[in-house]
Amino acid sequence: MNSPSAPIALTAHLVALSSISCGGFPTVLPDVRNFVVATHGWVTDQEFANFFAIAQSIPGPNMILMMSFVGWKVWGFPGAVASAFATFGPPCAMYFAAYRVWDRFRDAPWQRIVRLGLVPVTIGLVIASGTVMARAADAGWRAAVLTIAAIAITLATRLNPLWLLLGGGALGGLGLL
Amino acid sequence: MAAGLLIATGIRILLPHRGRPAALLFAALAFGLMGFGSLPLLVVLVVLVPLSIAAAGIQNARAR
Repeated sequence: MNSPSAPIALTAHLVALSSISCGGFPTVLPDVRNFVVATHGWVTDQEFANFFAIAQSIPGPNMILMMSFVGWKVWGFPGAVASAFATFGPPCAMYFAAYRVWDRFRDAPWQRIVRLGLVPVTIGLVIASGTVMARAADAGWRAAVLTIAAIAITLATRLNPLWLLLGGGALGGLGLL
Repeated sequence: MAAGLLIATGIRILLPHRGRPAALLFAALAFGLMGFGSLPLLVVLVVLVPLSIAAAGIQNARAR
């Protein structure tokens, strides 16, 4: 049973993380995992990986959906709604507030430099998120091989990712992972 | 599988920047500190973003 302060702590943490989620919410997944799995134990590693897999296989804003699953686990339906709002509310508000300023200086040299500086850090965070999610699943060497195969196929071909997700789901459903 | 897609997406976005050693360095640092160092995101951003922007600024000035 989670303490009464758990949903407040989760919502506050998601608000803080979504406010600094440069490059999208996937960049903060390792931090979310540390908070809900390692620090508080509200969700197991396997559940966290399952939430990610389900959210990735469904069309739409999948990180909002994933955080809703986490919120649901902590505090039921109110937790799901609070987590969803905490995930998209702050960045949307900041975007609307900052857009005019950002657009006004779009041709300024400093803006290009800021973009060039932000991009590599963001990319590193995205790759780190994928690595943390792969480790969270921790389903053995077969899953590790499948993850490497997914990377190779995605980089080498233009195959629709949906096929890869369906293939992974089928292998998992057949108990081969 | 979904994690592999996320990693591949990151690598694909990184490819156009492979000619910038500083970009590769900061991507590797962000990856290492977050993926294996388990540092809080805010710490990683506060340390790496100003340095990365500074490196981009220096590179931009040299290119002129």
